[in-house]
Amino acid sequence: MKSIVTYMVVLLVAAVVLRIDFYVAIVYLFLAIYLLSRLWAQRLRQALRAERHFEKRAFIGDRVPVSLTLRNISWLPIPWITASETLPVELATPPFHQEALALGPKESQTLHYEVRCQRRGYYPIGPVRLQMGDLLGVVKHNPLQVEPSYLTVYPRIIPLQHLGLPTRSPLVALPARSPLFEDPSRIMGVRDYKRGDPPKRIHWTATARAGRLVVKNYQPAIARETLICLDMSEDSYARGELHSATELAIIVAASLAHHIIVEERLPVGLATEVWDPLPRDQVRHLLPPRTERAHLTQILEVLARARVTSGISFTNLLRDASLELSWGSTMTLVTGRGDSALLESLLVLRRASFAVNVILVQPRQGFAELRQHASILGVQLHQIWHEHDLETWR
Amino acid sequence: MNARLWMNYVLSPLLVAVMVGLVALTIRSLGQMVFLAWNGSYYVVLAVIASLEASYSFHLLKSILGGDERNRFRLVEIALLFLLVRIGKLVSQGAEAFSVEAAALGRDPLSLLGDAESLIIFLLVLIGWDASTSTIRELDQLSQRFARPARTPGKGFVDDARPYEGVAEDQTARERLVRRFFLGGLIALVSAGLARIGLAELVNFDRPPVPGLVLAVLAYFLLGLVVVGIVQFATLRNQWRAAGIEMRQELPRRWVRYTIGFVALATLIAFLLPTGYTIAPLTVLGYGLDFLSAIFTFIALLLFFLILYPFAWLLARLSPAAGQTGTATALPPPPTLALPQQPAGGMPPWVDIARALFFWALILAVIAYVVRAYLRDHPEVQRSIAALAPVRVVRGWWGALRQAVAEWIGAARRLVPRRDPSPEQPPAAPRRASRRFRLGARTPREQVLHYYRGLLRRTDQQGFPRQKSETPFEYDVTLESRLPEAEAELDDLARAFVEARYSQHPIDPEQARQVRADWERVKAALQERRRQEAEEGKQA
Repeated sequence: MKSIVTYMVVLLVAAVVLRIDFYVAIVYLFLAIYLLSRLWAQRLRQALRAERHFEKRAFIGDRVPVSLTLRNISWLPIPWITASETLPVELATPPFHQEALALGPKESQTLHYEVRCQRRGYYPIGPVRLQMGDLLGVVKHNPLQVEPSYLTVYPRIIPLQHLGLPTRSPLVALPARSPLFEDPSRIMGVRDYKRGDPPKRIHWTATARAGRLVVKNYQPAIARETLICLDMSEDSYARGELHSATELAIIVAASLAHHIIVEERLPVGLATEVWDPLPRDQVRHLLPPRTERAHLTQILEVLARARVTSGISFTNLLRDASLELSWGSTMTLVTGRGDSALLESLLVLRRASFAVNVILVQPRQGFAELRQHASILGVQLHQIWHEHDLETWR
Repeated sequence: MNARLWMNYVLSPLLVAVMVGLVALTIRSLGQMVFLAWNGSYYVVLAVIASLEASYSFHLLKSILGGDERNRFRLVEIALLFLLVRIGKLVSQGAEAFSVEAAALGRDPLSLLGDAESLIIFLLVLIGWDASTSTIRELDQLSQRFARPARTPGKGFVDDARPYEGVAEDQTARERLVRRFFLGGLIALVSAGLARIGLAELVNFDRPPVPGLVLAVLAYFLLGLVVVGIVQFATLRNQWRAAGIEMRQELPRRWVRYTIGFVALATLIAFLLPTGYTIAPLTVLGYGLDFLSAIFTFIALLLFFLILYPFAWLLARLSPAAGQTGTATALPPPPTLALPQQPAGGMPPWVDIARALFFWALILAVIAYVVRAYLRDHPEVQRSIAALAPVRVVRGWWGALRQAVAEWIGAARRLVPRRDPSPEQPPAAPRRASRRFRLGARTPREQVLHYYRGLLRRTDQQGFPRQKSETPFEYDVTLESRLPEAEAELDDLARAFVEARYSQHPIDPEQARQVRADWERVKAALQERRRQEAEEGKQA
């Protein structure tokens, strides 16, 4: 119907010149078709609302149902719409979902589909491109686009025992020889009250039983915080195995965080510098140690989004992160770099009284020598590698 | 019988046959106007029969026959059509014509070829038959493509990325159908128009208008529009199927319902609007000018009368004749309004003038809107018109004139001393109605809000509207990704809007001017983007 305008103009001229009334009526008919189509098309754009609903967070292996509701808020029907939802290839094959439908006045219809979470990540669901049109193809329509929503797929969490890592010390609090700090949750025993003891230390139950004032004697302890430092610099991993190694490093970090918060009920934090798709920039994340489950969620979200970056210094990150930590905290380093720079950083951290352990995600070459150096520094060193390890952990 | 077969074998042939019959009706009326004694009813009947036969033979040939058989079948078909025309003519002339024709055939077998009338009618029937065959073929082509297996999304993703080869063919078929529909309509209109006017009166522009409606023509266009709706649906459906787009079941039913409702609404509007005029456009313009001149003359005379009346009265009082006779000199009579008169007719003159004014105003508005809408949809045409030398000259003059007027107004404002409002009197309430249309009369705050609303409207039209949940700054980020070339201007606009919308302090007029400049640049970027999209769409 591209020629409708030309046709109308010719007819109008003929109608005016020849003064034939029914020519004008036919012109009006086409004019009404043209104008109504245009006005209808303009109204359609304002009348359509699209809402996407799905669980915004999922684990690997989950199937997430997505529903896209299209709502017509006007009294005019929408004769046809095609909704083309773009999906990431990691979640769906083919990477789109498309449907054609019509919406009556004030009607809403929902498109249902499912995405399969096969890899951790932060994925856009959408944008959806909504193409509408008139009934006779008179007007050309610009498609409407609705911005994407995002789905976070958490990294895989593996029981820590399977990683071959210690489940207690050094990832938890350690008794200390120096009585500088006392842990009020660890009572060693009771003793008689001495002048100057704060009333809150009085052990009322024991006092009642003994018939004299006794106070609680606490075990001297160092901080029970753990900070996981994840190296996501592409220079720190073997070039050919960058993807597998970094994914493995992320799984290790996620599993550690989960274990410490859920199993040990101890505070854990995360320090890493990554390329983050949320702000679309390189971001340094420094999450201080906490024990709450919500905090674990926060850590997992960062790990879900984390992507390899370049031009960052892991040693700088370690230094900056250690400034925020309490004395005697544990720092767990997950990296692929086992070189002298790492040993220097370990030395600095040990001198700053931090308990340090290293999880190396790298091949076994030179590991014995590195372990020897680390043991001299009092640093526990663990190594994991190979793709098939991931298979056995499932 | 499923819906597709019913559509292909019953509904489409019937619709096409009826449309061909309607065109034949108008041709018949033209023929009857030229040859008064001609009974052309048989032509209409034959046109419909030929159209139905064309559908039947198309499906028959497609499924059964091929090669030489097909050509032989076509020859027999044409011969039969000719025979039918001859029989039809004889039937229309009565029983006696049969015996006369049989006797003539015995004497001269070549008389079977018939006379000029038979040949012309045969030619017309043949054209209708050919048009029907082509129409049915194209409708069938659209339908058959849908019947082919669709691509399965997910199976061979690389294959899914291929463009759909049938899109161009479908579009061509659709365009051919629409062109044929328009051509048929044109033939019907010309035939019906000539039948109404008469060939002799065709170039007589002083004759009265031809009233009334030709139902056959109207019915043709209404049916044609329904067919165009069906064709549009078939084209889209093929595209969706090829692209693996799943179609909801209720869509076809709704499509038919909406198309019929839409065409009915358009018909109603066409019936309600005035179709005739009794006064030509230049005459209406003349009446309008006469009317205005009469009003101005009356006002001038009234002013003169009011100014001169006291003097006349004094003169009448002071004149010696007044003292002697005791009567005042006769005063001049007050002026009367003399409106232009139209030649006598059945209706009061103002009714005819009002009707004609309404009609012409409507026609002008229609032309203006259609042209404007067309140019907005086709920026390339707009650009090529703007590039024409005469248009450039006129635009230059227009720009110079506007600038000169603006300078004169500015100079006049500077000359007129500004009066400070009296402290006792409160300032007059702003005249909201007029300020809505005069941007310059708005406050700087309102101007900023106006430009931001303009931005929202434009971006909405171009397919990236602001979501309800988005703040101006969030939306700014979204827009920047679409219009990176106007990033700074978008930032400024968002900031200025937030300040104008939520702050209490007065907004500086200079800031409003800056926002306007930003908005102009963003608008230009949006237009450029739209142009690029249109070009990309064309290339695709």
